Amino acid sequence: MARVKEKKKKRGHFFTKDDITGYLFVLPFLIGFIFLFAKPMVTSIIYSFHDVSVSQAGIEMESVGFSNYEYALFSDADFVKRFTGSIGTILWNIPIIMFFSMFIALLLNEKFVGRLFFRSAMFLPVIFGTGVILFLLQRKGMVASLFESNNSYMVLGDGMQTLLTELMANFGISSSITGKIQYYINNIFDISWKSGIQIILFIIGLQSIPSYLYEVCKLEGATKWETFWKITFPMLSPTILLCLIYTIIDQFNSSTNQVIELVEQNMREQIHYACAQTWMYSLVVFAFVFVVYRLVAKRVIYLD
Amino acid sequence: MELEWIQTVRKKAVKIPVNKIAQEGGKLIFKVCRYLLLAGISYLMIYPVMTMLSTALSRPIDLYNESTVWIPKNPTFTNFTSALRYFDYAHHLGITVSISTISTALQMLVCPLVGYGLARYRFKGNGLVFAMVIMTIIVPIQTAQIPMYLDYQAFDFLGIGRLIGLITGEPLTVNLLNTNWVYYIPAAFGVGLRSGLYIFLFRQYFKGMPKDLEDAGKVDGCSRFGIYLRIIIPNAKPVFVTEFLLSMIFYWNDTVISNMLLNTVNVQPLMPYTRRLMELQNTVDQIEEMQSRAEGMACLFMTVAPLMILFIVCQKFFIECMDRSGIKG
Repeated sequence: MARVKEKKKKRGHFFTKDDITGYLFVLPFLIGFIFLFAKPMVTSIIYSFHDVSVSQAGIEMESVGFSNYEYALFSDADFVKRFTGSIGTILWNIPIIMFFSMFIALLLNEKFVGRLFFRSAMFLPVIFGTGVILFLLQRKGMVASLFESNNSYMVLGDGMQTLLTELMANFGISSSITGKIQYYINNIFDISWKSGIQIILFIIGLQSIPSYLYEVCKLEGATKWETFWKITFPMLSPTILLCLIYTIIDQFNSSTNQVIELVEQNMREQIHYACAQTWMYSLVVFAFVFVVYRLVAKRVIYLD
Repeated sequence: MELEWIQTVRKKAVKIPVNKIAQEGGKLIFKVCRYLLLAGISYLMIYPVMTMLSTALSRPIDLYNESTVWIPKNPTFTNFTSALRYFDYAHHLGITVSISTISTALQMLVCPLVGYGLARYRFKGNGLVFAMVIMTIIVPIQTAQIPMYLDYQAFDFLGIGRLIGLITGEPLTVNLLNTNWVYYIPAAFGVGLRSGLYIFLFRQYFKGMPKDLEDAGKVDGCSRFGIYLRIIIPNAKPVFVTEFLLSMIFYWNDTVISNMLLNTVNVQPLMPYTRRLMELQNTVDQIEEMQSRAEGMACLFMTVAPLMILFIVCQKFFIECMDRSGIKG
């Protein structure tokens, strides 16, 4: 950085050579962003301030100011409920998914018999969970039993649940926390299916840590625990940032998200209203991502 | 004197094995726990696939039989043959293959370029461009459904068509709806399906690469683009393989874009086509229901089978790559 600034002063140009090379590298994206992304998106923002009706003749628009936004916030109870509901679930889900995927990646990173099989199995959710396949299987009643959130088929039976609640109450733990714990134990299927990509990203991140760092650790006689906190965790921090941001976006943006479902419904009849809803939603998500990025990026360590 | 000496030896002799046994035992417990945990999670992952496959291979009448678990009693391919009578597999497979391969190739060309620019050059507005990249994955694409439809209906070559229109009086536009171009064009400009994620992925990976490599290139007189081409790309194979697989899978499985911009059944890729087919199958009759369920699963299996084959073929390379990717400093 400092060197670049010096150069700039000497020559007195506004753009350094580095600047220009940088722009050339990102040029394709800039063109695409302006013409293929920003243009339709800006149009949809304009729609959100109008009353739009689509017919054979074309699109008719009538300006209505902020009324679409006002309606969504103050009159549409369903939207607000779904909005806050999805944010609540997602805030709980993010740390769980992050922890789970990192844990599995750490396990799969060690050498043991059958690792290939387990790694392949972890890749299956990426193939099956990204599209409508799971949705179709669900609809056809094939895996329905696995998905009902109140279904406690796997780990906790009803008796177990009351027992756990009582036990936790004895230790002075409130029932809401116990409820959450039960919820996650019962939803382990959902969580593990949402973590497929993150597991892969973490494995790549782990593999890209230079092995000489571990050799030094061994020579110095560090324990595994110390090695993890002193080497693995900091070196993994770029991947952690990537996975964290991806998890947040994926959670907010997946087609099973309550708000997205509502928007897709509304898109068929009231385009302007659906646009207003998504823009408010996206703004909140963007602000959230921005804050998280700012907080985490400072602590990320890149090997220089 | 002698007694003490013997005693200490005894103590040591007893101590060491106990410690060792505890250590070995701990390791063994850890190993067993690891296998149990991984096996349990793998079961969750494999379960839906197994159900799909076993249903597709069962005779409809066997689906009633509660005693059949997973392995069908009379495995049969009749579901596949009868489904193929109305399921136009080859045609739609061709569309899907061309969409996924070409779009993926374009993404593999553009995303690392942008990611490298963001990772290594601190040009003015770097942060802003990065925020734009993130924005493309945050805003749900369905938001711009109607504007995108209109844009592709009269595609003006990124504004060039309109400029020509200023001279000739007639804007040059093409109707790209119902063609594969609605996939290729965004992919070529880094705003395709999840392009933002891949740009982010490449950026993080390139940022983590040691700078010494590039400095060595500079010393040897490599140009800036030459460094990217000769040093960066060969050292980033694992990310490229990952990106390739993810991109193929996302394009293969996409239904959002095709629902928005490809509304003739004949030009739809395999996945939305299968979806439509399976949603149409709604019968009240139970025998027919089982029949259609088995056939639907056969269709669905045929839809994802190429992806699984691709994964199995790539897998060796993929996993080898993941193992070798550590850059020795």
